[in-house]
Amino acid sequence: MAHRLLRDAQADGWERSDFPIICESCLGDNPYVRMLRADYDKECKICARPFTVFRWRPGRDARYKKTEICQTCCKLKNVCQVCLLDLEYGLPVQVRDTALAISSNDAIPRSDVNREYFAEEHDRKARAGIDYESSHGKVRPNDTILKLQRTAPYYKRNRAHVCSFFVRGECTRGAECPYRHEMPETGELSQQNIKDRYYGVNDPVALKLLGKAGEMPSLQPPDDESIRTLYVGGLDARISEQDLRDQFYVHGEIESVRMVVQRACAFVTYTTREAAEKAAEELANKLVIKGVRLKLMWGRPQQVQPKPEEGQPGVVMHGGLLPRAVISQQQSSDQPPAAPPPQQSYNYFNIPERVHYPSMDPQRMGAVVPSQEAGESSKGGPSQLAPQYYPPQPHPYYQGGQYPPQYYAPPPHAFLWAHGTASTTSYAIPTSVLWSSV
Amino acid sequence: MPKIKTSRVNYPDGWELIEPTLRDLDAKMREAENDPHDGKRKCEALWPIFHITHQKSRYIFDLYYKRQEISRELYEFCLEQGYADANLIAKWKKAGYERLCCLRCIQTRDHNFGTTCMCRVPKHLREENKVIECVHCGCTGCASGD
Repeated sequence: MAHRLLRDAQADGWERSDFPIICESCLGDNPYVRMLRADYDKECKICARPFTVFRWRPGRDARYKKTEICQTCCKLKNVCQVCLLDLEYGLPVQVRDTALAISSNDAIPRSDVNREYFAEEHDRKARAGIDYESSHGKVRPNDTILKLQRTAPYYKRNRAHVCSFFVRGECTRGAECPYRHEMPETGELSQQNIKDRYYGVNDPVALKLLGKAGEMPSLQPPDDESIRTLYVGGLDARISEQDLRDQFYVHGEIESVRMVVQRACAFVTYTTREAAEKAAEELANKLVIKGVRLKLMWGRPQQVQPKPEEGQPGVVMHGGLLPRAVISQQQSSDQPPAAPPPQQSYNYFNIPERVHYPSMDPQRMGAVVPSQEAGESSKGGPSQLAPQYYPPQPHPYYQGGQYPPQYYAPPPHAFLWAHGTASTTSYAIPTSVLWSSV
Repeated sequence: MPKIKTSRVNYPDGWELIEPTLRDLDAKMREAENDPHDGKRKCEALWPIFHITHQKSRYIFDLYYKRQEISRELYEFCLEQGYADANLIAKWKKAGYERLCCLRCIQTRDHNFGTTCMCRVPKHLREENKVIECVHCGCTGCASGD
């Protein structure tokens, strides 16, 4: 008798699926996940039809999560089955619909029989492979949604629930209590309703997010009219200079891109001020490269020092260069601004106090300190001989100012070696060739 | 009337020595059975039962196998009379199960993904300082290493 009932139920069109449709945050950080599947285990919280429930633990410190709505309902709104947030952007339904101006709301009935009928029709069409009109994959992302979207998974929502006994002061389980011993959050956001969230109506989180979006400050152009440089922060190892150029070339001609790897930032300078302003306006809160959200700000003007011997064409004021002189590996036209007093600069170069070898002392390795006349003459020797091993390109550098010795120390060292000990000539030369190509 | 065969318990020798302890343990068990359930979780109310069963079986197992103070006859008598759980003792004789808390914790059919209870995981393999009381018997860890 029981068998017959079940078979009838399946003919009734109850949903059966093989894998849940969930977002990254709900799936968890652990690449190994053990999932339980139970057919027709619970009713969908929206359409009240039985569906396949999946249950898993999204990470070691997480509670068990299970699918709450059926796949039919989830596909209608393109949301995760557990958290009911959009699969692409991680935003509540109301936010996404307002931002993208989709209104599928009228089409989905909400009263009992209508809803069931609609869900079943939809399900039937989906299974038959008829392409129902869903605008979700086809809408092009616009500014607002790019500003609002979540770029990294958010695992805080997988934490255990708050211990209700603790809230009353009665938790006797003590250390082994698996629930959180914290006070629950109160306020507007704690009164959420799954149906409201799904249909995109009266959702407090969405309202808050939309309010914030409306007020997000746009980047104010600085008063100093000559600054044409934008500061890009939050760089990653994956982001290359070419990526930055690709993002920024649209708005105007790029004069230079300087990547400062050790500070995870870059400075993009445009040839015209208008281009920089346009770029700032367009990319303000939406700069996301390779999944990494980047911060965009105007560069700060550097300290100006008159340097008559630098006849470089590109050396106009670089807004945004920090007082420290750091040279990027690629750009040779960028000149470090000059000089803080020499004593300060030594701290930046991580020079040890006790110098055991000549190679630890930048001045003996060829660093040029303009205030020290005596030092210059002694270095005049190696620097004069050095050109034989160098390509002409580094010459201007010697006339410049402070340079981190680590870029230039090795070649003279190798050079000295090669001249000093005849026995080491055989392998000193290949290494010096290697270094000079830097 | 047909002759009624009644069984009478014939206590073997050495019974007098172990009888007081067994009586105390039985009294403890009766207390646990009659305890009110207020303030305890549903599963927590059953934990003392498992604990005392473990204790009784442990006593008899230790006497026979470890200290060898009772005879085989007396040992088997205790098992037959129900003073110890023979199935649990059978597990204690196996390597790795010397400290097993109860039989439910190793029953894979009772657990998700066909595994054993959390209390069977050695403490050094769990995360740091994680205190658990297993849901079946309240055991905090019965792996042989701990």
